[in-house]
Amino acid sequence: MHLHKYEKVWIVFGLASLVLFLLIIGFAAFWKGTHPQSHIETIDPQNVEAHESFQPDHLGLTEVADGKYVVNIVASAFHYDLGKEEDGTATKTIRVPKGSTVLFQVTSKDVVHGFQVAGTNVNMMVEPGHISRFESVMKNNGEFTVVCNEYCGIGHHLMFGTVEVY
Amino acid sequence: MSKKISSTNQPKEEANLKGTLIMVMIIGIIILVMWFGAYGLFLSR
Amino acid sequence: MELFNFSKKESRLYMAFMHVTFISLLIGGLMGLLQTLVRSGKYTLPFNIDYYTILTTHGVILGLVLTTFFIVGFQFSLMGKTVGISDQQLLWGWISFWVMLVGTVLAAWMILTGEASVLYTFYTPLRAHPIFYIGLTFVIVGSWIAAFTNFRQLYVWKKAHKGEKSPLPAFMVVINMIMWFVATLGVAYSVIVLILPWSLGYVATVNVLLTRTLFWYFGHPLVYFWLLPAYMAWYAIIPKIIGGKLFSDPLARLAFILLLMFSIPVGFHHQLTEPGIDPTWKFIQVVLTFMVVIPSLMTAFSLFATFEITGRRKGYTSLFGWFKKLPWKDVRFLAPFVGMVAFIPGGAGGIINASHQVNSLVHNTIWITGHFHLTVATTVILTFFGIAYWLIPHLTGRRLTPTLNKLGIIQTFIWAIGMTIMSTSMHIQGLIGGPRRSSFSEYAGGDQVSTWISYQIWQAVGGTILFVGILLMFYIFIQLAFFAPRGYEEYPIAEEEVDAEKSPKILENWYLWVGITIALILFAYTIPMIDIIKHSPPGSIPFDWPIGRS
Ligand code: HEM
Ligand SMILES: [Cu+2]
Ligand SMILES: [Cu+2]
Repeated sequence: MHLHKYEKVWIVFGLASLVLFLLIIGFAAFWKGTHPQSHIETIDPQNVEAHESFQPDHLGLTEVADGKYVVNIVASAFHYDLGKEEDGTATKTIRVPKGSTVLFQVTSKDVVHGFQVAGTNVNMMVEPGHISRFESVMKNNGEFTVVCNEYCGIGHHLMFGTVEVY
Repeated sequence: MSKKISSTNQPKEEANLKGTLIMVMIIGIIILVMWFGAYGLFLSR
Repeated sequence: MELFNFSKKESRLYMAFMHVTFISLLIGGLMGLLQTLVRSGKYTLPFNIDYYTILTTHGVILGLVLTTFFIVGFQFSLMGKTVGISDQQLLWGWISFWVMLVGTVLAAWMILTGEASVLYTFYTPLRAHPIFYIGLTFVIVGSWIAAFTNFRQLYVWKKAHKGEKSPLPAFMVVINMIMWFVATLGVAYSVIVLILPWSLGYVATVNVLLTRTLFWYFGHPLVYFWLLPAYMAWYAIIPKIIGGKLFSDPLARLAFILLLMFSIPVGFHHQLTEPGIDPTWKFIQVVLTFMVVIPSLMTAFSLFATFEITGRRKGYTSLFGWFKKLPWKDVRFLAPFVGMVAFIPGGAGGIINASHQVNSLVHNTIWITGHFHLTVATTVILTFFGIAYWLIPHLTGRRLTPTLNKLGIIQTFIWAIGMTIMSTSMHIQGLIGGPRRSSFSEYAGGDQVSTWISYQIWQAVGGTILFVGILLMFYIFIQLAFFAPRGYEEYPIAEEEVDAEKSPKILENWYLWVGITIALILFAYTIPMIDIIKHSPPGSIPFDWPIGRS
């Protein structure tokens, strides 16, 4: 099959670009460990409390080491359970200092949800029966809206929270 | 349809495709710029 | 190439598909307009209509119904033109049409009564009414009937033309239908075996990740099923419209073969941020996804080369003289051309989406919606419009008059402007985190959210312009179908150069290409599928109330 010489140039250029992209993301993924969220652990969606992380008093923010935090969240239509404040009201905002490393652990009690801290790289699907985990360094200051970005029913757009990096 | 076959109907290897090469290269550059832009944004977050 | 003339009976079948297409465009377009208006925050739907009912209608009617009807009808016409259709095959054509239509009506009935607000992806464990799933099954089965009729048409032709290569359009149709059949097997299994019994209550639980994985095994080839007919027009029809010849028959076939092989084993690029799938397998499918870019790069070259060779042959020998002299005033060319241009940012955006961890930048943000309104709702749709301008009068024995041609050009401009505004603002809003598939919401307030809303207002501006474009297109369709003056409109099919290079025989070795396709699918999916099934969590019971069914 005949290829025009410029077509060869173009295909080689295109292939080289694609290979370059793959090398960059492959290096980041396999050497630096920045895979997308791919946690494999499963859970019973009808009994998420059986898992230690998702017991009512383990929900929300916990500082596990200096500058290291874990946030446990149970998603259900149309609400993120972030635990309770000291005065007993439901937590709406997670506050962490700039530069801290935060591990988000989320699961769903009912349907599929999303969990995105908008404006950061924390973006994962949350599915019943699975635990979603993603660790991120909060590099930038600001108030970030947490949105459910997978359709979960008529109140889907009312499902949100806030992460404040100070 | 025009039929100026005489001198221009050469076999493909000699077809002049300079304009085509420039056009596709522009596409290539757009792809590269957009991709690195997005990757830069990803890294900054 | 020998071209067949359409009989009246034949034309009627192809037109039937076109009628459904354009009625769908009108209904779906109205929903699109309403979505953008609601999302602007300045408008609420009357009669307590739920946003997600509208959105489901929009996605199903435009993403699944309009596309499938147009494609099946257009592909039937390509087969009829180049390999012919027998009376019996024509009957099967009608059966496929009616089966698909019954399915559409069933699904639409459930959606419009609020029994199926599950969006066009119908992710479990949200449960729609069983009739919705039955309707979808009918649509798929109807399209299979069309696929097997097309296979038969080419087979019969081949037997009568021993040793000849198949006509290029027929070859391309068969490639697309093989891909469609192999891909829909996954979603058909999911709907018929996993979801339907569960929705009827015969089975208590469903494996959510498995149904999603089967959906996306189908979902990526779905988008290529939309794109390939546009490529057919670009490769095999546009050269004729601009007064040129095919650039290269074998390269066109090779591109289609590569598209067949690499369109299917790539569904994980829609599931990159999902739990329960090994990241290494995700990455493997990312690599395969990048492979499917190559035939599109080849296509870009072929198209420009066709334009350049044609222009130079007409005597425009300066570096870009050939470009200036393209038939810009011919809407049969202009509309698909604007579609091609939209595919440059559309395709580049697609590479970003598929880039493994970078996907988290855009996943399920409104960027994605901006992306596929460039690819399907501009590239594909404008090419389909470009086809309709000659196909419909060809079928109805009328002419595309200069006035209608001019209206078509205006339509193309309206679409380009509306989509530039809507899609650009969607892309930007997505990059700053705005979610897709979401009704208007102020969330917890703050700067971030008010910026999102300002882009949503721009989307309403673009959406309104687009809807004007849809009204105009519908008007043109009605004119071409019923009122344009009687006459003859050409069915343009490009010829090869007289001295064209022979196509290697291997390009028509179907066993080889289908074999490689299946091997690649098995490679990409077997181990992760076993993992998903072996490590499956307790299944999910159905949920009716979150979507407003109780
Ligand atoms: C008047 C023209 C159009 C307008 C104003 C429009 C507007 C929209 C908007 C605003 C959304 C996103 C809503 C959301 O995520 O909440 C959307 C989604 C969508 N649109 Fe369009 N659109 C138009 C034409 C089209 C066309 C022609 C197609 C396909 C051929 C199409 C296919 C889709 C699909 C598949 C979705 C996804 C639905 C989902 O996420 O479930 N649209 N459209
Ligand atoms: Cu949601
Ligand atoms: Cu895809």
